[in-house]
Amino acid sequence: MKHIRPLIMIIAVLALVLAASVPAIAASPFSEEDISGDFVYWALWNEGEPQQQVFAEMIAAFQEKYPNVNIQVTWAGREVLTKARSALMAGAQLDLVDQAADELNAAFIKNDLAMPLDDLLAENALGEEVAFKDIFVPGVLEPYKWKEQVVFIPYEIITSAYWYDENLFKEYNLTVPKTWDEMMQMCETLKAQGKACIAQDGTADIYNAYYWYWLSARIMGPGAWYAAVSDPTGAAWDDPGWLEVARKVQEPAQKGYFMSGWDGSVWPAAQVAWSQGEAAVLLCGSWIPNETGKTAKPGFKYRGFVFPEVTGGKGKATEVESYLLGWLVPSSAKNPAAAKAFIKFAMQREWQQKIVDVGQNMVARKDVPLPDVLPDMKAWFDTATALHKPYDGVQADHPGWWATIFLPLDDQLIKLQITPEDFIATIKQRTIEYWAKPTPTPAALR
Amino acid sequence: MRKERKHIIIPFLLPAGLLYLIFFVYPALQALVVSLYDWSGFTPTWTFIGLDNFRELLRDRVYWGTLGFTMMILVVGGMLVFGIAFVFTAILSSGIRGKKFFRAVLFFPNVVATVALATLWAFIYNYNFGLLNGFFKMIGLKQLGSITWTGPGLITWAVLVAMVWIYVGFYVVLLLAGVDKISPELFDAAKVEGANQLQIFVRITIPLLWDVLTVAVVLWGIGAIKQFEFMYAFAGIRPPRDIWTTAVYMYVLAFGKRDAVFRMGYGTAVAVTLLILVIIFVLIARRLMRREAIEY
Repeated sequence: MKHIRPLIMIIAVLALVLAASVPAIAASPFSEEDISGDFVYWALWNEGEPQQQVFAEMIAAFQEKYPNVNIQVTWAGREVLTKARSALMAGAQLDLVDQAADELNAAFIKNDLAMPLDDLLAENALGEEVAFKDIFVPGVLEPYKWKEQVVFIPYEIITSAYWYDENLFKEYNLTVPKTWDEMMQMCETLKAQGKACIAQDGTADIYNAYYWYWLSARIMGPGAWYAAVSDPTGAAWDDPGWLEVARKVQEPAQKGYFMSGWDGSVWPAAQVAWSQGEAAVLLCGSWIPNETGKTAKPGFKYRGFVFPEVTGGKGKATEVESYLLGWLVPSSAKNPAAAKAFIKFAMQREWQQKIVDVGQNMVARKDVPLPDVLPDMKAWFDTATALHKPYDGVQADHPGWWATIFLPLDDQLIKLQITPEDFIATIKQRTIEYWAKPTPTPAALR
Repeated sequence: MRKERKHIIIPFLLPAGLLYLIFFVYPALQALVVSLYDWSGFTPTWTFIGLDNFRELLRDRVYWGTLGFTMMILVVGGMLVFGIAFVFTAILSSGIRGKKFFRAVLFFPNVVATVALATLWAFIYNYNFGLLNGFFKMIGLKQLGSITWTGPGLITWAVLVAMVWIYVGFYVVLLLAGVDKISPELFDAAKVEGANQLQIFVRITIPLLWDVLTVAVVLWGIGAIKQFEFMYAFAGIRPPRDIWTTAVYMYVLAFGKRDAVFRMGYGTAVAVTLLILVIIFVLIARRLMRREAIEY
């Protein structure tokens, strides 16, 4: 008994320590009873879309679990923020909104209109003995932090890469290019055999911009483009590396590696043609298997490879783009408890798995496998040494520069309507003018 | 008597007048106010910047580019639309059989949603499997069948052709309605005097149609200056830059389309310039087309 008493004491102390420490990681600031009342959610999905159906099912299940909540969901589609803005300005309730991170960033985050969600991340994941923050793919919670706090919770991850049909690569005896030179060589080989190398919807400026973005990331390194845009003096553009980027952007068009008629190709003509085997590769987002699934020729086997490195460049193939879709709770939310509860509910494995199965996209939960149509993507993220925002964050943080200065000029560059030298000189000049404007400060930078 | 009429007119006009004030005049005035602010549209606070948005517009190359295309639609498109509409009006008012059928056929694009029409024309112009290139290849004109109709330099004309196709029918119907009101005795008398169809159309139809024509020109001007839907829907994912009208640019600035610019104040300034353009156009059109009223 003498020996047992100290043991009991130790156990009791340990129990107390554990009991005291558990709330630090698992306590929710809201009790189950708090999760009640009207909960207004504006979603980016359109009614009838496959992912909308998953979300509708998810919402119904949430409603069942929390019967005191009255969920009012609006399937607002991709222009959800435009519609949400009107609702917010009219003083209407909005507790949760989802959209691409860069758009939420410009609309809410940089305007200081997003609610911090660190408390939610510190809790346990719903029904699991693991902190909520630990269920995510590493690196996806950090990019859109505001004032050191997480304000955006991603549920889906997209990345851009070259996509191809494995059968076509076998037929033409092609191997995945590791460098830009190998890529150009592969295109030359295909051209010699009368086969189009790259499909490109040339009237879609954001798709044309992939070439500048990726070549700048591979030649100058991630963050360099962002830094150049952010430099009000324009001096950053004097680095000769930018001229090399501009020259390489023109290479596919100059050498005739894009499909015929590419410069007037109206989306989705080129990607449809690619899915029917009329071109070997397509540089696009990982939504492409989903988008082209119905038009792809029978037996099309989706594979992908990351944008090749450029010999001598500062960027590495292990630096991967992460384009995130996710949720944000507006700071004016009237029912944040329900919004946070919904986020946790929706991040459960079963719902994330449904998004994978139906949407055929990678999700933000690290323990949910990728869809079969994206067999290569997991390895890119597993071996990633760094994740970066789409278009190096320029689209998200400098949308005015992006939309009114860069995209028109980039279209001219890739279509050979301007020389690389003139492109750099013009973009430098216009960047200086952009920052010299007496007004207005881009919304994203306020 | 006049006083009595006033007593009747005012109550009848009041509901419409109030609606007009609430839903047009007030938002237009509010837009003028917003255009003087730097405002993203999301924040409750607005920053007053006076006329800086308009000053910025003066240096905005994208704005002037889009305005150029808008003017092209207004002037070149207008000339084509009215030129072709006159031809059809002349033919259909010459007493040919099947007038109603042809009128319905010409009007048909106007009952189809603009989004559907834009998608149809994108398909017609498609380089690989479009109707136009397919047709040329089928009749052996391979060179014509290999043109990228939506490529740089051609896309603006391609879209203009599509718009002319859409709108001609509307103006033919409008002009024909005017023609129908002209007394047939005038045409008969002209024929007895030996006038040919062209002379009848130029000397009788057009002068007597002048009021309708003035309304049609004003309607075209307003529609052309605020042209948006066709361009916006033409390429699904986002409108090709070469066919951005000023209205499309305004939308991109204020509301975004994959570009989260969200500059409501600046976008509204663009909208205000469109409103001013419409007012100027209407004033000029009415001034140029002012004629003595012809009674018949």
